[in-house]
Amino acid sequence: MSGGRIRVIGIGQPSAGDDGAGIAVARALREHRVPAGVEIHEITDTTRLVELLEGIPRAILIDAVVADRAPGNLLCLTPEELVTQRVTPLSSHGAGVAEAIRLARTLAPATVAATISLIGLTIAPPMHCTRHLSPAVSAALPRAVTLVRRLLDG
Amino acid sequence: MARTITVDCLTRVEGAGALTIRFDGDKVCEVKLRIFEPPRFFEGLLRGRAREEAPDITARICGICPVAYQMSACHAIEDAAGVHMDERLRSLRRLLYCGEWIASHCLHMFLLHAPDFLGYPDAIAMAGEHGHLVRRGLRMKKAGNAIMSVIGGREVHPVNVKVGGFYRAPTPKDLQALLPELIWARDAAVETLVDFAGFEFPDFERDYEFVALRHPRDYPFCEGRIVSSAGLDIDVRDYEDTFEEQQVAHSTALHSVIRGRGGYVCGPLARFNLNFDRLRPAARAAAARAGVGVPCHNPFKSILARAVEVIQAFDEAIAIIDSYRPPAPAALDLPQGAATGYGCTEAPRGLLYHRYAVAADGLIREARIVPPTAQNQKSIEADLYSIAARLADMPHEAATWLAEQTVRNYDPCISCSTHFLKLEIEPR
Repeated sequence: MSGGRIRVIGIGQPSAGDDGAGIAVARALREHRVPAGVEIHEITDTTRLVELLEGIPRAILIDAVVADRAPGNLLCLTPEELVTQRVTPLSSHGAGVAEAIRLARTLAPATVAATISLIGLTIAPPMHCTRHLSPAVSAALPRAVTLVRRLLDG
Repeated sequence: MARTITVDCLTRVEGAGALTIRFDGDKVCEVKLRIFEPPRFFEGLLRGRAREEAPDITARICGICPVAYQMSACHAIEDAAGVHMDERLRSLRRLLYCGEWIASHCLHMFLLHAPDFLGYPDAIAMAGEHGHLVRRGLRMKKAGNAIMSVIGGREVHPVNVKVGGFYRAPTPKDLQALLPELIWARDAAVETLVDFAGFEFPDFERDYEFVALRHPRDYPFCEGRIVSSAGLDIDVRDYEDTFEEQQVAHSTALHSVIRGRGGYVCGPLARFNLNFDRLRPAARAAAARAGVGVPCHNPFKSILARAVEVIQAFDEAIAIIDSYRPPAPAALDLPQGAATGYGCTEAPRGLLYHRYAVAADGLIREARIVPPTAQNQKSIEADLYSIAARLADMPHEAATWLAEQTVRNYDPCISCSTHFLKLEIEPR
Protein backbone atom coordinates (compact mmCIF):
# COMPACT_ATOMS: atom_id res chain seq x y z
CA MET A 1 0.00 0.00 0.00
CA SER A 2 2.99 2.31 0.46
CA GLY A 3 4.44 4.32 -2.42
CA GLY A 4 1.24 6.25 -3.26
CA ARG A 5 1.38 9.93 -2.50
CA ILE A 6 -2.35 10.61 -2.56
CA ARG A 7 -5.10 8.28 -1.46
CA VAL A 8 -8.60 8.71 -2.73
CA ILE A 9 -10.91 6.88 -0.34
CA GLY A 10 -14.55 6.17 -1.12
CA ILE A 11 -16.55 5.48 2.05
CA GLY A 12 -19.98 3.92 2.25
CA GLN A 13 -22.32 0.98 2.53
CA PRO A 14 -23.41 -0.06 -0.95
CA SER A 15 -26.30 -2.13 0.41
CA ALA A 16 -27.99 0.97 1.81
CA GLY A 17 -28.70 2.70 -1.48
CA ASP A 18 -27.35 6.24 -1.58
CA ASP A 19 -25.13 5.56 1.47
CA GLY A 20 -22.92 3.79 -1.08
CA ALA A 21 -22.34 7.04 -3.03
CA GLY A 22 -18.70 7.38 -1.87
CA ILE A 23 -17.91 3.85 -3.01
CA ALA A 24 -19.67 4.48 -6.32
CA VAL A 25 -17.53 7.60 -6.96
CA ALA A 26 -14.32 5.64 -6.19
CA ARG A 27 -15.38 2.90 -8.58
CA ALA A 28 -16.26 5.39 -11.30
CA LEU A 29 -12.89 7.08 -10.83
CA ARG A 30 -11.15 3.79 -11.64
CA GLU A 31 -12.52 4.14 -15.18
CA HIS A 32 -10.44 7.29 -15.66
CA ARG A 33 -6.73 7.93 -15.87
CA VAL A 34 -5.43 9.34 -12.64
CA PRO A 35 -1.98 10.85 -12.00
CA ALA A 36 0.84 8.48 -11.02
CA GLY A 37 1.04 7.89 -7.28
CA VAL A 38 -2.71 8.03 -6.74
CA GLU A 39 -4.28 5.06 -4.94
CA ILE A 40 -8.01 4.47 -4.93
CA HIS A 41 -9.58 2.69 -1.94
CA GLU A 42 -13.13 1.67 -1.08
CA ILE A 43 -14.02 1.13 2.59
CA THR A 44 -17.13 0.32 4.56
CA ASP A 45 -15.58 0.23 8.04
CA THR A 46 -14.42 3.78 8.94
CA THR A 47 -11.83 2.47 11.44
CA ARG A 48 -9.83 1.52 8.32
CA LEU A 49 -9.35 5.26 7.74
CA VAL A 50 -6.85 5.40 10.62
CA GLU A 51 -4.25 3.37 8.73
CA LEU A 52 -5.13 4.72 5.30
CA LEU A 53 -4.52 8.34 6.38
CA GLU A 54 -1.00 7.54 7.60
CA GLY A 55 2.25 7.91 5.64
CA ILE A 56 0.90 10.12 2.88
CA PRO A 57 0.85 13.89 2.43
CA ARG A 58 -2.68 14.10 1.13
CA ALA A 59 -5.98 12.26 1.13
CA ILE A 60 -9.30 12.87 -0.56
CA LEU A 61 -12.31 11.25 1.11
CA ILE A 62 -15.65 10.87 -0.57
CA ASP A 63 -18.71 10.06 1.50
CA ALA A 64 -22.44 10.42 1.43
CA VAL A 65 -23.63 13.21 3.71
CA VAL A 66 -26.96 14.39 5.00
CA ALA A 67 -27.10 18.19 4.94
CA ASP A 68 -29.54 21.03 4.41
CA ARG A 69 -29.27 20.57 0.64
CA ALA A 70 -31.19 18.54 -1.89
CA PRO A 71 -29.77 15.10 -2.74
CA GLY A 72 -27.09 15.18 -5.45
CA ASN A 73 -25.21 18.31 -4.33
CA LEU A 74 -21.45 18.27 -3.86
CA LEU A 75 -19.81 19.82 -0.82
CA CYS A 76 -16.04 20.38 -0.51
CA LEU A 77 -15.17 20.25 3.15
CA THR A 78 -12.20 20.19 5.49
CA PRO A 79 -12.33 17.81 8.47
CA GLU A 80 -12.83 20.85 10.74
CA GLU A 81 -15.84 21.93 8.71
CA LEU A 82 -17.24 18.46 9.11
CA VAL A 83 -17.55 19.12 12.82
CA THR A 84 -18.72 22.72 12.66
CA GLN A 85 -21.16 22.62 9.78
CA ARG A 86 -24.51 20.97 9.82
CA VAL A 87 -23.29 18.03 7.82
CA THR A 88 -23.58 14.44 8.94
CA PRO A 89 -21.59 11.75 7.18
CA LEU A 90 -23.33 8.46 7.56
CA SER A 91 -21.87 5.68 9.62
CA SER A 92 -23.72 2.72 11.02
CA HIS A 93 -21.76 1.54 14.03
CA GLY A 94 -18.38 2.47 15.47
CA ALA A 95 -16.46 5.62 14.65
CA GLY A 96 -17.73 8.22 12.24
CA VAL A 97 -15.47 9.86 9.64
CA ALA A 98 -14.67 12.90 11.82
CA GLU A 99 -13.80 10.64 14.78
CA ALA A 100 -11.62 8.41 12.62
CA ILE A 101 -9.69 11.44 11.31
CA ARG A 102 -9.23 12.77 14.85
CA LEU A 103 -8.07 9.35 16.00
CA ALA A 104 -5.56 9.12 13.14
CA ARG A 105 -4.22 12.60 13.94
CA THR A 106 -3.85 11.70 17.65
CA LEU A 107 -2.12 8.41 16.93
CA ALA A 108 0.28 9.66 14.27
CA PRO A 109 0.52 13.47 14.39
CA ALA A 110 3.77 13.48 12.39
CA THR A 111 2.80 11.09 9.61
CA VAL A 112 -0.92 11.53 9.07
CA ALA A 113 -1.91 13.23 5.81
CA ALA A 114 -1.41 16.99 6.27
CA THR A 115 -4.11 17.78 3.77
CA ILE A 116 -7.39 15.93 4.01
CA SER A 117 -10.17 16.99 1.68
CA LEU A 118 -13.64 15.62 2.06
CA ILE A 119 -16.12 15.57 -0.75
CA GLY A 120 -19.61 15.14 0.58
CA LEU A 121 -22.31 14.00 -1.79
CA THR A 122 -25.63 14.99 -0.30
CA ILE A 123 -28.27 12.32 0.00
CA ALA A 124 -31.59 11.88 1.73
CA PRO A 125 -31.33 9.62 4.82
CA PRO A 126 -31.32 6.06 3.39
CA MET A 127 -34.53 4.28 4.28
CA HIS A 128 -34.32 1.16 2.15
CA CYS A 129 -32.08 -1.82 1.69
CA THR A 130 -31.11 -1.49 -1.97
CA ARG A 131 -27.94 -1.68 -4.00
CA HIS A 132 -29.14 1.08 -6.34
CA LEU A 133 -28.45 4.80 -6.15
CA SER A 134 -31.34 7.24 -6.48
CA PRO A 135 -31.56 9.14 -9.80
CA ALA A 136 -30.44 12.42 -8.20
CA VAL A 137 -27.34 10.86 -6.61
CA SER A 138 -26.57 8.75 -9.64
CA ALA A 139 -26.71 11.87 -11.83
CA ALA A 140 -24.17 13.58 -9.56
CA LEU A 141 -21.50 10.86 -9.97
CA PRO A 142 -19.85 12.34 -13.11
CA ARG A 143 -19.63 15.75 -11.42
CA ALA A 144 -18.12 14.11 -8.32
CA VAL A 145 -15.54 12.29 -10.45
CA THR A 146 -14.68 15.54 -12.24
CA LEU A 147 -14.26 17.27 -8.90
CA VAL A 148 -11.92 14.56 -7.58
CA ARG A 149 -9.86 14.69 -10.78
CA ARG A 150 -9.65 18.47 -10.56
CA LEU A 151 -8.41 18.17 -6.96
CA LEU A 152 -5.85 15.58 -8.10
CA ASP A 153 -4.66 17.78 -10.97
CA GLY A 154 -4.58 20.84 -8.76
CA MET B 1 -29.68 14.79 49.21
CA ALA B 2 -32.26 14.38 46.50
CA ARG B 3 -31.24 14.49 42.89
CA THR B 4 -31.44 13.07 39.41
CA ILE B 5 -28.66 11.74 37.24
CA THR B 6 -29.46 12.20 33.59
CA VAL B 7 -27.65 10.96 30.54
CA ASP B 8 -29.55 12.28 27.56
CA CYS B 9 -27.59 10.38 25.06
CA LEU B 10 -25.49 7.46 26.25
CA THR B 11 -22.25 7.36 24.31
CA ARG B 12 -19.94 4.51 23.42
CA VAL B 13 -22.82 2.11 22.96
CA GLU B 14 -24.29 0.85 19.71
CA GLY B 15 -27.60 2.56 18.93
CA ALA B 16 -29.83 5.25 20.58
CA GLY B 17 -31.08 5.34 24.17
CA ALA B 18 -31.14 7.20 27.47
CA LEU B 19 -30.83 6.47 31.15
CA THR B 20 -32.64 8.05 34.13
CA ILE B 21 -31.90 7.32 37.79
CA ARG B 22 -34.23 9.06 40.29
CA PHE B 23 -33.32 9.36 43.95
CA ASP B 24 -35.60 10.00 46.90
CA GLY B 25 -33.12 11.19 49.48
CA ASP B 26 -30.20 8.78 49.23
CA LYS B 27 -32.46 5.96 48.10
CA VAL B 28 -32.88 5.18 44.46
CA CYS B 29 -36.55 5.04 43.53
CA GLU B 30 -36.44 4.50 39.79
CA VAL B 31 -34.02 3.30 37.15
CA LYS B 32 -35.05 3.38 33.52
CA LEU B 33 -32.92 2.34 30.61
CA ARG B 34 -35.03 3.96 27.93
CA ILE B 35 -34.61 2.69 24.46
CA PHE B 36 -36.25 5.04 22.01
CA GLU B 37 -34.77 3.86 18.78
CA PRO B 38 -37.90 2.95 16.88
CA PRO B 39 -39.01 -0.68 16.64
CA ARG B 40 -38.07 -2.24 13.34
CA PHE B 41 -40.66 -4.93 12.78
CA PHE B 42 -38.29 -7.46 11.24
CA GLU B 43 -40.43 -10.35 12.44
CA GLY B 44 -43.38 -8.91 10.52
CA LEU B 45 -41.51 -8.27 7.30
CA LEU B 46 -40.16 -11.83 7.25
CA ARG B 47 -43.69 -13.20 6.83
CA GLY B 48 -44.30 -14.30 3.29
CA ARG B 49 -40.62 -14.26 2.35
CA ALA B 50 -38.81 -17.36 1.15
CA ARG B 51 -37.02 -19.32 3.87
CA GLU B 52 -33.75 -18.86 1.95
CA GLU B 53 -34.03 -15.08 2.43
CA ALA B 54 -34.03 -15.22 6.24
CA PRO B 55 -30.24 -15.03 6.75
CA ASP B 56 -29.76 -11.99 4.51
CA ILE B 57 -32.85 -10.13 5.74
CA THR B 58 -32.07 -10.64 9.42
CA ALA B 59 -28.38 -9.79 8.93
CA ARG B 60 -29.59 -6.21 8.30
CA ILE B 61 -30.68 -5.95 11.92
CA CYS B 62 -27.05 -5.21 12.88
CA GLY B 63 -23.88 -3.93 11.26
CA ILE B 64 -21.71 -5.28 14.10
CA CYS B 65 -23.07 -8.81 14.38
CA PRO B 66 -24.62 -9.71 11.03
CA VAL B 67 -22.99 -13.15 11.11
CA ALA B 68 -24.83 -13.98 14.35
CA TYR B 69 -28.15 -13.23 12.66
CA GLN B 70 -27.15 -15.25 9.63
CA MET B 71 -26.07 -18.18 11.77
CA SER B 72 -29.19 -18.27 13.96
CA ALA B 73 -31.42 -17.91 10.89
CA CYS B 74 -29.61 -20.66 8.98
CA HIS B 75 -29.69 -23.08 11.89
CA ALA B 76 -33.40 -22.44 12.49
CA ILE B 77 -34.35 -22.94 8.83
CA GLU B 78 -32.13 -26.02 8.61
CA ASP B 79 -33.73 -27.37 11.79
CA ALA B 80 -37.13 -26.99 10.16
CA ALA B 81 -35.86 -28.99 7.18
CA GLY B 82 -34.19 -31.61 9.35
CA VAL B 83 -30.73 -30.90 7.91
CA HIS B 84 -27.53 -30.91 9.97
CA MET B 85 -24.17 -29.42 9.00
CA ASP B 86 -21.34 -31.82 8.29
CA GLU B 87 -18.03 -31.30 10.10
CA ARG B 88 -16.39 -29.25 7.34
CA LEU B 89 -19.32 -26.85 6.99
CA ARG B 90 -19.55 -26.61 10.77
CA SER B 91 -15.87 -25.65 10.98
CA LEU B 92 -16.19 -23.02 8.29
CA ARG B 93 -19.17 -21.49 10.09
CA ARG B 94 -17.22 -21.46 13.36
CA LEU B 95 -14.32 -19.73 11.57
CA LEU B 96 -16.66 -17.05 10.22
CA TYR B 97 -18.11 -16.59 13.72
CA CYS B 98 -14.53 -16.26 15.13
CA GLY B 99 -14.07 -13.33 12.72
CA GLU B 100 -17.21 -11.60 13.97
CA TRP B 101 -16.44 -12.14 17.67
CA ILE B 102 -12.94 -10.73 17.17
CA ALA B 103 -14.11 -7.65 15.27
CA SER B 104 -17.03 -6.93 17.62
CA HIS B 105 -15.15 -7.61 20.88
CA CYS B 106 -12.08 -5.58 19.78
CA LEU B 107 -14.24 -2.59 18.85
CA HIS B 108 -15.89 -2.67 22.27
CA MET B 109 -12.82 -3.48 24.38
CA PHE B 110 -10.37 -1.01 22.85
CA LEU B 111 -12.51 1.84 21.56
CA LEU B 112 -15.60 1.84 23.77
CA HIS B 113 -14.84 0.20 27.14
CA ALA B 114 -11.10 0.64 27.86
CA PRO B 115 -11.43 4.48 28.08
CA ASP B 116 -13.69 3.93 31.14
CA PHE B 117 -10.93 2.13 33.01
CA LEU B 118 -8.11 4.43 31.90
CA GLY B 119 -10.09 7.58 32.69
CA TYR B 120 -10.66 9.06 29.27
CA PRO B 121 -13.91 10.33 27.79
CA ASP B 122 -13.31 8.44 24.55
CA ALA B 123 -10.81 6.44 22.53
CA ILE B 124 -9.49 9.55 20.77
CA ALA B 125 -8.47 11.14 24.08
CA MET B 126 -7.08 7.78 25.20
CA ALA B 127 -5.02 7.47 22.04
CA GLY B 128 -2.81 10.39 23.08
CA GLU B 129 -1.16 8.42 25.92
CA HIS B 130 -2.16 4.90 25.00
CA GLY B 131 -1.68 5.00 21.25
CA HIS B 132 -0.06 1.56 21.24
CA LEU B 133 -3.22 0.08 22.76
CA VAL B 134 -5.49 1.70 20.20
CA ARG B 135 -3.23 0.65 17.34
CA ARG B 136 -3.08 -2.90 18.63
CA GLY B 137 -6.86 -3.01 18.96
CA LEU B 138 -7.44 -1.70 15.45
CA ARG B 139 -4.98 -4.20 14.00
CA MET B 140 -6.59 -7.10 15.87
CA LYS B 141 -10.04 -5.95 14.75
CA LYS B 142 -8.80 -5.81 11.19
CA ALA B 143 -7.60 -9.42 11.45
CA GLY B 144 -11.14 -10.43 12.45
CA ASN B 145 -12.63 -8.39 9.62
CA ALA B 146 -10.25 -10.12 7.21
CA ILE B 147 -11.67 -13.52 8.16
CA MET B 148 -15.16 -12.22 7.39
CA SER B 149 -14.00 -10.75 4.07
CA VAL B 150 -12.43 -13.99 2.89
CA ILE B 151 -15.27 -16.29 3.93
CA GLY B 152 -18.19 -13.91 3.74
CA GLY B 153 -17.24 -11.98 0.62
CA ARG B 154 -17.04 -8.67 2.51
CA GLU B 155 -16.42 -7.54 6.10
CA VAL B 156 -19.80 -5.95 6.82
CA HIS B 157 -22.95 -7.87 5.98
CA PRO B 158 -21.26 -10.91 4.41
CA VAL B 159 -22.96 -12.16 1.27
CA ASN B 160 -21.60 -15.71 1.02
CA VAL B 161 -23.70 -17.33 3.75
CA LYS B 162 -26.67 -19.35 2.61
CA VAL B 163 -29.13 -21.70 4.21
CA GLY B 164 -27.43 -25.11 4.02
CA GLY B 165 -23.88 -23.76 3.98
CA PHE B 166 -22.09 -21.28 1.71
CA TYR B 167 -22.41 -20.15 -1.89
CA ARG B 168 -18.70 -20.75 -2.38
CA ALA B 169 -16.14 -22.36 -0.11
CA PRO B 170 -12.83 -20.46 0.19
CA THR B 171 -9.73 -22.28 -0.98
CA PRO B 172 -7.11 -23.40 1.57
CA LYS B 173 -4.78 -20.83 0.00
CA ASP B 174 -7.32 -18.04 0.58
CA LEU B 175 -7.43 -18.90 4.28
CA GLN B 176 -3.73 -19.64 4.76
CA ALA B 177 -2.95 -16.10 3.62
CA LEU B 178 -4.64 -14.94 6.85
CA LEU B 179 -2.38 -16.98 9.13
CA PRO B 180 0.62 -14.67 9.72
CA GLU B 181 -1.64 -11.85 10.95
CA LEU B 182 -3.79 -14.21 13.01
CA ILE B 183 -0.70 -15.64 14.72
CA TRP B 184 0.49 -12.10 15.53
CA ALA B 185 -2.98 -11.24 16.79
CA ARG B 186 -3.21 -14.29 19.08
CA ASP B 187 -0.05 -13.12 20.88
CA ALA B 188 -1.38 -9.55 20.93
CA ALA B 189 -4.63 -10.85 22.46
CA VAL B 190 -2.70 -12.61 25.26
CA GLU B 191 -0.80 -9.38 25.92
CA THR B 192 -4.11 -7.49 25.96
CA LEU B 193 -5.61 -9.79 28.60
CA VAL B 194 -2.60 -9.13 30.86
CA ASP B 195 -2.94 -5.37 30.27
CA PHE B 196 -6.67 -5.35 30.96
CA ALA B 197 -6.35 -7.61 34.02
CA GLY B 198 -4.27 -4.79 35.53
CA PHE B 199 -7.20 -2.35 35.35
CA GLU B 200 -8.81 -1.21 38.59
CA PHE B 201 -12.29 -2.71 38.74
CA PRO B 202 -15.12 -1.28 40.86
CA ASP B 203 -15.84 -3.58 43.81
CA PHE B 204 -19.25 -4.79 42.70
CA GLU B 205 -20.86 -8.21 42.43
CA ARG B 206 -24.38 -9.52 42.00
CA ASP B 207 -25.75 -13.01 42.21
CA TYR B 208 -26.60 -13.39 38.54
CA GLU B 209 -28.28 -16.23 36.77
CA PHE B 210 -25.97 -16.69 33.80
CA VAL B 211 -27.44 -18.22 30.64
CA ALA B 212 -25.49 -19.56 27.68
CA LEU B 213 -25.30 -22.40 25.21
CA ARG B 214 -23.28 -25.41 26.22
CA HIS B 215 -21.81 -27.87 23.76
CA PRO B 216 -20.50 -31.31 24.73
CA ARG B 217 -17.03 -30.50 23.44
CA ASP B 218 -16.53 -26.93 22.26
CA TYR B 219 -16.85 -23.35 23.51
CA PRO B 220 -20.30 -22.43 22.24
CA PHE B 221 -20.97 -20.78 18.90
CA CYS B 222 -23.80 -22.37 16.95
CA GLU B 223 -24.92 -25.42 18.85
CA GLY B 224 -25.65 -26.79 22.28
CA ARG B 225 -28.26 -26.87 24.99
CA ILE B 226 -29.32 -23.72 26.80
CA VAL B 227 -27.99 -23.94 30.35
CA SER B 228 -27.86 -21.59 33.33
CA SER B 229 -25.95 -21.17 36.57
CA ALA B 230 -29.22 -21.97 38.40
CA GLY B 231 -29.51 -25.42 36.86
CA LEU B 232 -31.49 -24.72 33.70
CA ASP B 233 -30.69 -27.26 30.99
CA ILE B 234 -33.08 -27.20 28.01
CA ASP B 235 -33.22 -27.89 24.33
CA VAL B 236 -33.25 -24.80 22.09
CA ARG B 237 -36.76 -25.65 20.96
CA ASP B 238 -38.02 -25.22 24.55
CA TYR B 239 -36.75 -21.61 24.70
CA GLU B 240 -40.15 -19.97 24.61
CA ASP B 241 -41.53 -22.29 27.30
CA THR B 242 -38.79 -21.08 29.62
CA PHE B 243 -38.16 -17.47 28.62
CA GLU B 244 -40.77 -14.75 28.26
CA GLU B 245 -40.58 -11.34 26.59
CA GLN B 246 -42.44 -8.54 28.36
CA GLN B 247 -43.55 -5.10 27.16
CA VAL B 248 -42.32 -2.16 29.23
CA ALA B 249 -43.59 1.38 28.72
CA HIS B 250 -40.17 3.09 28.72
CA SER B 251 -38.50 0.97 26.06
CA THR B 252 -39.19 0.01 22.50
CA ALA B 253 -37.25 -3.19 23.17
CA LEU B 254 -38.93 -6.05 24.96
CA HIS B 255 -37.51 -7.23 28.31
CA SER B 256 -36.78 -10.93 28.67
CA VAL B 257 -37.22 -12.91 31.87
CA ILE B 258 -37.01 -16.54 32.87
CA ARG B 259 -40.59 -17.46 33.68
CA GLY B 260 -41.13 -17.46 37.43
CA ARG B 261 -37.60 -16.24 38.18
CA GLY B 262 -36.92 -12.89 36.49
CA GLY B 263 -33.92 -11.32 34.85
CA TYR B 264 -30.78 -13.10 33.76
CA VAL B 265 -27.49 -12.40 31.99
CA CYS B 266 -26.24 -13.70 28.68
CA GLY B 267 -23.08 -12.77 26.77
CA PRO B 268 -19.34 -13.05 27.35
CA LEU B 269 -19.43 -13.13 31.17
CA ALA B 270 -22.16 -15.81 31.12
CA ARG B 271 -20.36 -17.92 28.53
CA PHE B 272 -17.06 -17.56 30.39
CA ASN B 273 -18.62 -18.68 33.69
CA LEU B 274 -20.60 -21.56 32.21
CA ASN B 275 -18.08 -22.79 29.66
CA PHE B 276 -14.66 -22.12 31.17
CA ASP B 277 -13.88 -25.82 30.83
CA ARG B 278 -14.72 -25.68 27.14
CA LEU B 279 -12.12 -22.98 26.38
CA ARG B 280 -9.18 -24.06 24.31
CA PRO B 281 -6.02 -24.77 26.35
CA ALA B 282 -4.34 -21.60 25.04
CA ALA B 283 -7.20 -19.40 26.28
CA ARG B 284 -7.45 -21.20 29.64
CA ALA B 285 -3.68 -20.95 30.17
CA ALA B 286 -3.65 -17.26 29.29
CA ALA B 287 -6.54 -16.63 31.70
CA ALA B 288 -4.70 -18.50 34.48
CA ARG B 289 -1.50 -16.52 33.86
CA ALA B 290 -3.45 -13.24 33.99
CA GLY B 291 -5.23 -14.33 37.19
CA VAL B 292 -8.63 -14.33 35.49
CA GLY B 293 -10.88 -17.18 36.57
CA VAL B 294 -14.36 -18.38 37.44
CA PRO B 295 -16.70 -17.83 39.11
CA CYS B 296 -16.74 -14.15 38.22
CA HIS B 297 -19.79 -12.14 39.27
CA ASN B 298 -18.35 -8.64 38.69
CA PRO B 299 -19.94 -7.24 35.52
CA PHE B 300 -17.12 -4.68 35.15
CA LYS B 301 -14.84 -7.65 34.49
CA SER B 302 -16.82 -8.55 31.38
CA ILE B 303 -13.98 -6.84 29.50
CA LEU B 304 -11.74 -9.67 30.73
CA ALA B 305 -14.22 -12.32 29.57
CA ARG B 306 -14.20 -10.64 26.15
CA ALA B 307 -10.41 -10.58 26.13
CA VAL B 308 -10.29 -14.32 26.89
CA GLU B 309 -12.85 -14.97 24.17
CA VAL B 310 -10.71 -13.04 21.70
CA ILE B 311 -7.74 -15.32 22.49
CA GLN B 312 -10.06 -18.29 22.09
CA ALA B 313 -11.33 -17.01 18.74
CA PHE B 314 -7.85 -16.33 17.31
CA ASP B 315 -6.57 -19.71 18.52
CA GLU B 316 -9.53 -21.59 17.11
CA ALA B 317 -9.37 -19.68 13.83
CA ILE B 318 -5.74 -20.68 13.42
CA ALA B 319 -6.53 -24.34 14.22
CA ILE B 320 -9.46 -24.43 11.77
CA ILE B 321 -7.33 -22.95 8.99
CA ASP B 322 -4.45 -25.35 9.73
CA SER B 323 -6.70 -28.38 9.19
CA TYR B 324 -9.07 -26.81 6.63
CA ARG B 325 -10.43 -28.86 3.81
CA PRO B 326 -13.08 -27.16 1.70
CA PRO B 327 -16.58 -28.53 2.22
CA ALA B 328 -17.88 -30.30 -0.85
CA PRO B 329 -20.54 -29.46 -1.70
CA ALA B 330 -20.33 -25.94 -0.33
CA ALA B 331 -23.98 -26.18 0.71
CA LEU B 332 -26.41 -28.99 1.53
CA ASP B 333 -29.80 -29.21 -0.17
CA LEU B 334 -32.85 -28.68 1.99
CA PRO B 335 -35.99 -30.74 1.44
CA GLN B 336 -39.27 -28.81 1.26
CA GLY B 337 -41.98 -29.33 3.83
CA ALA B 338 -44.06 -27.47 6.37
CA ALA B 339 -42.29 -27.34 9.72
CA THR B 340 -41.16 -25.09 12.51
CA GLY B 341 -37.43 -24.68 13.09
CA TYR B 342 -35.47 -23.35 16.06
CA GLY B 343 -32.00 -21.83 16.08
CA CYS B 344 -29.97 -20.33 18.90
CA THR B 345 -26.38 -19.20 18.53
CA GLU B 346 -23.96 -17.16 20.62
CA ALA B 347 -23.78 -13.63 19.16
CA PRO B 348 -20.88 -11.56 20.53
CA ARG B 349 -23.33 -10.06 23.09
CA GLY B 350 -25.05 -13.33 23.95
CA LEU B 351 -27.86 -15.69 23.03
CA LEU B 352 -29.63 -14.94 19.78
CA TYR B 353 -32.80 -17.01 19.35
CA HIS B 354 -34.72 -17.43 16.08
CA ARG B 355 -37.84 -19.45 15.35
CA TYR B 356 -39.46 -19.77 11.95
CA ALA B 357 -42.68 -21.48 10.95
CA VAL B 358 -42.15 -22.45 7.31
CA ALA B 359 -45.06 -23.55 5.10
CA ALA B 360 -44.97 -26.34 2.49
CA ASP B 361 -44.37 -23.71 -0.24
CA GLY B 362 -41.13 -22.67 1.46
CA LEU B 363 -42.49 -19.32 2.61
CA ILE B 364 -42.10 -18.09 6.19
CA ARG B 365 -45.46 -17.88 7.97
CA GLU B 366 -44.21 -16.66 11.32
CA ALA B 367 -40.89 -15.49 12.72
CA ARG B 368 -39.62 -14.84 16.22
CA ILE B 369 -36.28 -13.18 17.00
CA VAL B 370 -34.92 -12.54 20.52
CA PRO B 371 -31.63 -10.58 20.49
CA PRO B 372 -29.16 -10.59 23.40
CA THR B 373 -29.48 -6.92 24.42
CA ALA B 374 -33.22 -7.36 24.98
CA GLN B 375 -32.39 -10.31 27.22
CA ASN B 376 -29.84 -8.32 29.22
CA GLN B 377 -31.89 -5.13 29.69
CA LYS B 378 -33.50 -6.21 32.94
CA SER B 379 -30.11 -7.09 34.37
CA ILE B 380 -28.61 -3.76 33.30
CA GLU B 381 -31.37 -1.96 35.20
CA ALA B 382 -30.88 -4.26 38.22
CA ASP B 383 -27.13 -3.51 38.23
CA LEU B 384 -27.95 0.21 38.23
CA TYR B 385 -30.34 -0.26 41.16
CA SER B 386 -27.61 -2.10 43.04
CA ILE B 387 -24.93 0.47 42.35
CA ALA B 388 -27.21 3.48 42.86
CA ALA B 389 -26.53 3.78 46.60
CA ARG B 390 -22.89 4.33 45.71
CA LEU B 391 -23.85 6.87 43.03
CA ALA B 392 -25.88 8.87 45.56
CA ASP B 393 -22.71 9.66 47.53
CA MET B 394 -20.58 10.54 44.51
CA PRO B 395 -20.02 13.92 42.77
CA HIS B 396 -22.43 14.25 39.87
CA GLU B 397 -19.88 13.87 37.10
CA ALA B 398 -18.29 10.76 38.63
CA ALA B 399 -21.71 9.24 39.33
CA THR B 400 -22.81 9.77 35.76
CA TRP B 401 -19.60 8.21 34.49
CA LEU B 402 -19.98 5.12 36.69
CA ALA B 403 -23.62 4.71 35.70
CA GLU B 404 -22.73 4.86 32.02
CA GLN B 405 -19.88 2.43 32.55
CA THR B 406 -22.34 0.06 34.23
CA VAL B 407 -24.40 0.08 31.06
CA ARG B 408 -21.36 -0.31 28.81
CA ASN B 409 -20.34 -3.47 30.71
CA TYR B 410 -22.96 -5.18 28.59
CA ASP B 411 -21.80 -3.75 25.25
CA PRO B 412 -25.48 -3.14 24.57
CA CYS B 413 -26.46 -3.12 20.96
CA ILE B 414 -29.56 -1.00 21.00
CA SER B 415 -29.91 -1.20 17.26
CA CYS B 416 -30.37 -4.92 17.69
CA SER B 417 -32.69 -4.76 20.66
CA THR B 418 -35.25 -2.56 18.87
CA HIS B 419 -32.60 -1.54 17.88
CA PHE B 420 -28.71 4.26 21.69
CA LEU B 421 -28.47 5.86 25.01
CA LYS B 422 -29.06 9.05 27.38
CA LEU B 423 -28.58 9.05 31.36
CA GLU B 424 -30.73 10.94 33.85
CA ILE B 425 -30.23 10.68 37.62
CA GLU B 426 -33.14 12.65 39.13
CA PRO B 427 -34.04 13.80 42.67
CA ARG B 428 -37.54 13.55 43.89
